[in-house]
Amino acid sequence: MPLPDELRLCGLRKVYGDVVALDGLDLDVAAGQCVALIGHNGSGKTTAVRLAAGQLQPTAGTVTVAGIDVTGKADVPEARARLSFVPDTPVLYGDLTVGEHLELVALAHGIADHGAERIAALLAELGLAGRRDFLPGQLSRGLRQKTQLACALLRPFQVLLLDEPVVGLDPPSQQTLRRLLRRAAVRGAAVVLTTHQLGFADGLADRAVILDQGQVADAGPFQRVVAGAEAARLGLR
Amino acid sequence: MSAVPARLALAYRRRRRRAHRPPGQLSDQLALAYVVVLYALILGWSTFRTVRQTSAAPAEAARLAELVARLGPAALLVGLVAALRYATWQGPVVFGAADVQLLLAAPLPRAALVRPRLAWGLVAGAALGGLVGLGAFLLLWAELAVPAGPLLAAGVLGPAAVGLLAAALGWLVEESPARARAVLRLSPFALLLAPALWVTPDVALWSGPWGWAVGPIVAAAGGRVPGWPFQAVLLALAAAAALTVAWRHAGAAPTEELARRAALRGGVAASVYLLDVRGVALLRHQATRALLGIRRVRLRPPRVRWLAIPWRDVLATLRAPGRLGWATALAGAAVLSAAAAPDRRALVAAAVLAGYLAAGRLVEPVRMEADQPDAHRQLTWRYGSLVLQHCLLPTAMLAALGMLGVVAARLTGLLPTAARGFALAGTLPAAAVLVLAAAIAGRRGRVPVELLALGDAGAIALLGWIMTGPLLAETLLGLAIALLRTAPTPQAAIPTAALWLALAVLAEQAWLRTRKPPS
Repeated sequence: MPLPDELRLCGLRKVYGDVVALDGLDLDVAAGQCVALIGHNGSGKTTAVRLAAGQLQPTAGTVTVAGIDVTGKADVPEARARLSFVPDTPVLYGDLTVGEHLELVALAHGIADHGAERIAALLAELGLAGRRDFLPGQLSRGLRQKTQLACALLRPFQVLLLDEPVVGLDPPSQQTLRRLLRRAAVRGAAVVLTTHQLGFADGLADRAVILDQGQVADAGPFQRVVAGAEAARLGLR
Repeated sequence: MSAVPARLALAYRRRRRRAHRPPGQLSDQLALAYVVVLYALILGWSTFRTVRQTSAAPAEAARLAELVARLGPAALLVGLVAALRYATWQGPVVFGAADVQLLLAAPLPRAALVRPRLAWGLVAGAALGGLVGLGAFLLLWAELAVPAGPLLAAGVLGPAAVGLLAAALGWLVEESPARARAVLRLSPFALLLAPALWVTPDVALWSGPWGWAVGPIVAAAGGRVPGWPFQAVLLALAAAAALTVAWRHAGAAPTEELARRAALRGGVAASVYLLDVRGVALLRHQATRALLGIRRVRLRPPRVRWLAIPWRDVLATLRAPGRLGWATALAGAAVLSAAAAPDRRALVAAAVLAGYLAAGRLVEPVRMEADQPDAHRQLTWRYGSLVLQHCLLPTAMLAALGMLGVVAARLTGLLPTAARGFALAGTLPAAAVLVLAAAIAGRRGRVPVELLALGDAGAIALLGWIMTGPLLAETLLGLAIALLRTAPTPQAAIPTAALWLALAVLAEQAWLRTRKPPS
């Protein structure tokens, strides 16, 4: 029996003034699946994940997270509790240390009681253990990105959305991230990531969706899509 | 899974923020607040002493009370509209980007995160309204021999209630992009009501909260407003209703709206800290474009070269007609204030300032040139000449608005028939002086923040840089007005005043013509 879809995007459309950023995206992601959104700059990848994350309101279409329709609703804590999102730029408090960011996330998600061990493990795995007491201003871009990833991975989630997660990460850190994402999928999370680096998604993503000027150019199993005519036409491989 | 209480997370956030506060930061802030209050008191007292002439005669006092009844509702309406427009891109509740990413994305009830900030926003709105009211009280008390208590109560409480109402309505705008778009589209039309309020003070005092707040002030200033206690009750009820609705809707804002404001907050704070008004304006334009898109107005280009820049300026006005709305309201207020009390220095100075601000709204294309100084290299004109061409349309528009104001002043009986022709003739040179002063200020580009590195002297220089335009306008027009006022009859001083204005315009033009683009 197939697993129920944790994330379902139906006919998703986003328009800014006269500009159509995304036009009619349909995407179902089941528990344990990983989907890569691929495309050039301005193709609609970021718009798609931000719409799925509830950071943008769709002009048309629906977003369902773990069976909860969140379209047009401002306050759905039940859906937010199941969805974790990593934006393309690290966004951190300037006056909280790395460790305090994770403690705050644990408190905000009601896991503070058993969060300490998990925090320590994540910091160690991401190579941040020695920087636990550093403020964001003392960290490089890559380390801030890792802090943000730690915040997203610490909290419970059924859907994990990542926008260009490898930007700023060195190759060993990219391998660590691949391992963490694979583990999340194995544990039953639906993972959606956007990336320009097909090498990072290769072996991680089950499926790929190529976006071009806001529209789906191709979609299907990762290897087939990447080897396909659309990927070649758009110069993505 | 259900919502997690927000209290713990917010308390932790506050606690850690305090723990990381650099030592001495609190005392530094208190010292800064002390200095600001001290300077405000000294400046306020010296202004009060300057403004305070002999107490107005009974006829003059009645005229002033009528002026308050005319100007007050229009000014409060403009303030309310400005607050609602502010809420389309910032507003009473603005989160940081990290709040959006970490707290608003958590399963915390949104209302619990919004309400503490909303409470501050409401208090700030009421305080700002109260401060404006306090300023109005001081101006009136300086001029009128009336008991201070009732005037202070009416002067502060009414505008404070309007400030509270504006903040509550601001949140309702903030939580709905459809309302934000409606505010952006309709507010220029609402501003056109301001001159109508001026013309019909009896209606204006009952036309809405902006009038209800002014009725008790007029009564306390010695004017006759039957039913002012009822107005006070209506205002209190309106503010309470808006407050209740806003509080109940605290959890209704979509993340997109809060994120949009959060993304701008850093830039706005930096620009405000550096007194970079232009930086704030550009961020506001960016936010407006995100909501409304770009207005697709087309206009056939002219065939003659000398019309190219006016054509480009007409196009800019058509694509952002709100600027013309603001300029209309400000120019109307300027002319009507000057006509109502030409002998009161404070009002005349405020009128010149309003006229300058109207000109400032119209010379936006000059600022656009300064924002991208290299863009003019695509054109054949030298920078100074280009800036002067950008002044043609604003001068014509401001003169036309001034003439409309003169006609309105005549129709309302504020301007004697004998002065009508003279006032109409004066609008063009006055508009030219104001527009050129605004262009002189606007063509310099962004605030030279490097001045701040020079310490106190740099801060004074920076203040001078910011005040250049208004001071130039006040000096050049103020001298012309002084010539008219000090002559035995205004008619006797017309040649001298006209000569002075002509010289002022020529000097401003000569100065602008030789300017180079900002580096």
